[in-house]
Amino acid sequence: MDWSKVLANIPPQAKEAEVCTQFVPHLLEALGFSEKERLPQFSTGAGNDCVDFAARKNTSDDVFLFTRNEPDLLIEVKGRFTNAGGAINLTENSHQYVSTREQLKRYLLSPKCKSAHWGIITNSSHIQLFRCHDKVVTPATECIELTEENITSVVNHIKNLIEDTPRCLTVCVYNNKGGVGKTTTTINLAATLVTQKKKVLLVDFDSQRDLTKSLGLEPSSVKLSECLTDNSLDIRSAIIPFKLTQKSGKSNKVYRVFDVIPADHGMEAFTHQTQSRIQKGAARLRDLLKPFANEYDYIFIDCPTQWLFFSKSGVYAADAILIPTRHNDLSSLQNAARVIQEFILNDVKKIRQDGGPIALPIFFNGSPADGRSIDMAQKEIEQVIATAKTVDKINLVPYFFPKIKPGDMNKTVFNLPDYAVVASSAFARVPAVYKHKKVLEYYLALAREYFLNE
Amino acid sequence: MSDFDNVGQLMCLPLDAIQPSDSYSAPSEYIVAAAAASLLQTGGHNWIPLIVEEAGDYAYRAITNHFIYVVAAHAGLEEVWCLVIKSSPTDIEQARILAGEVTPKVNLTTASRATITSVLKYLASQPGTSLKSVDVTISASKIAAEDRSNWQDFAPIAKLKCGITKGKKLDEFASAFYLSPPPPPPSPPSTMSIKQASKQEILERLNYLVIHKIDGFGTVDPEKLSELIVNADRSKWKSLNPITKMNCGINTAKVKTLKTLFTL
Ligand SMILES: Nc1ncnc2c1ncn2[C@@H]1O[C@H](COP(=O)(O)OP(=O)(O)O)[C@@H](O)[C@H]1O
Ligand SMILES: [Mg+2]
Repeated sequence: MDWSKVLANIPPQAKEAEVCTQFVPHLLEALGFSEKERLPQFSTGAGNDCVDFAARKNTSDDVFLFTRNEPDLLIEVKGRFTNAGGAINLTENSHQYVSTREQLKRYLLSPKCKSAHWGIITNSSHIQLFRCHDKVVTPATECIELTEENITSVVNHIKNLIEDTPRCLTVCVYNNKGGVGKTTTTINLAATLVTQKKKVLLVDFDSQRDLTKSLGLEPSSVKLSECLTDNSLDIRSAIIPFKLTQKSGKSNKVYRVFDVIPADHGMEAFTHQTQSRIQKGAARLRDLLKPFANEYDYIFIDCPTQWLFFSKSGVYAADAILIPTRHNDLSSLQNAARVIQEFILNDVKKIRQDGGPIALPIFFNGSPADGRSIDMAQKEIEQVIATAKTVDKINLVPYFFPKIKPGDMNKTVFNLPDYAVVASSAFARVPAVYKHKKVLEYYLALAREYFLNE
Repeated sequence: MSDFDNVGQLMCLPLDAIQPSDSYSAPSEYIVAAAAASLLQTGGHNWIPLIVEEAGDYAYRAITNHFIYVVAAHAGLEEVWCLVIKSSPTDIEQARILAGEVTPKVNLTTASRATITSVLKYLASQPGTSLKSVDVTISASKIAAEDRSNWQDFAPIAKLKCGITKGKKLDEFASAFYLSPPPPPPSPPSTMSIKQASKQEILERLNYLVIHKIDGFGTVDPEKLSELIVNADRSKWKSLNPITKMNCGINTAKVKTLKTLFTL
């Protein structure tokens, strides 16, 4: 592909239609999609919505151009300029960037696009790749400004990513405040996703070992703490299956529910000596989990409270961060804002340079659906949002009130009700969702809100 | 330097993850053997670290303190304590300088007489030097007295009759210094007839010579001179020589320079 020629043929003030004809076909070609593997103006199945381009590799008996189903990649195109002649700025966090990204997200979750794993936004000056895993859309690259010098390597990088779609989404459950239900959420959400045929791995990355203990597990002979320091160990050997026995008639049937990498005592004795042996520091866990990218549908990492080695590792390793809060613990709300702003956006995301990780909207763990205490929590959130807006010039609305839309000030925060069984089953070594149908419903609602795209 | 890498940190690294120097040679086998014995006697924990940079994922390259690598390898150790430094040419250079592995160079464009004297004294005291016969004080004074601001190389030194002659001596001298001359001036304005030039056109050409301090023009007042030229009866000029009589610091040597920008 002679990109300098392609770029030279795009008018500096190209409108969307010109980007669609002068740039996107070359891009799709370079990404490995032949003319019979792409469609312009693909109807998403949601109202009259059409995404500018859809693409999928053909198989011997299925030509995408003819069957027009199961797209793998969507491309939402913008111009360099609007038809009215205004410049379109797609740099990250610009107004037009945010609306284009949201548009792509909507398309990716549309009825006829559920098969799509990948989405691109581009106006030929900028480009960004997103990955779609069930309901979760995460950036797979930064929003990159295209130049004659970088375009070949950028397109190649995107091609390599989409040709190797990982099976797994890695989620870190974290808030910089203790007792908000991180461990409880991790266990029950995982157990719930298993009922939806998802293969799940849990990583107990908290030296207090709450998750490991509440499931009644012991570490394997190869321990997680040893894998951190010894590059020659195989992390797969650290996995312990969590099994449940079900009585059926006279015989017992053993089910492998999910896999766990338990915490071990070596993590407790985390000293200067240990730290001197962890190459790449808090970036090490991410590398350790790489062999599982095609083994599981979800990996959940349970972290301790402080923003230190363990939590930093968990957030760095994750594609998305799920942040439980307590509606009646105002500090858990303030800390959620801190996690999003300081830890995710200003620290880890900048160091990772791959567009990730993202923060999912917060939820209230163990709260009533409404009432005075919810109103108070809402007031506190409004305060947090206002401060972030004036002091740090950052918009936290989507992270706290994700249901707000233009003209609809819907300030509902997802809530997971308080339920006594949840607390008591921590000693029973069985996830509460398997003990009580109602609890399963609660966590299924949580799974649907954030993950499942049904 | 963040918690997501090991830069600035003392790390205990597997010896086989470290790529050793390809140019270092240890002082002597017996010193290495004795140092290895000393290291083993104290439990194999080297207190002076090997200095490494990250060469890739879980791969490191030795930057300096190479002796430690050789000793640890000789002692049969599998791990060695290392300090991981930032991987940039200037940071690597700095580590090598501070470890005494390389001698830092001095900027001769701006060096004072005292500094030049000190460097020359050091060089002249080195074994096998070719500068032994040089009178350090006189030679440093002569170099210091020169305007070195535009030197592009060390060739002018050989012309100073300061004892540092072209060849071995000058090479040795140059090994301790570097130069930071200003970038060469941009290409000059086009040549044009002085009789037809407007004041603006004359000023533009004079400014070029003055701003870039070409051939001693640094002290000429371009405003004043262009004014005088415009107001002179230029039509009768047979050369540029009348300019030398304008009391503006233009001598016949400078007229030669003016001829590169002006014709009659
Ligand atoms: N939805 C819930 N209903 C009732 N109790 C809950 C619920 N979520 C968490 N808890 C209880 O709250 C306490 C703190 O939860 P935990 O998951 O250990 O928090 P963290 O891991 O954030 O420190 C535990 O005793 C747990 O059983
Ligand atoms: Mg916990």
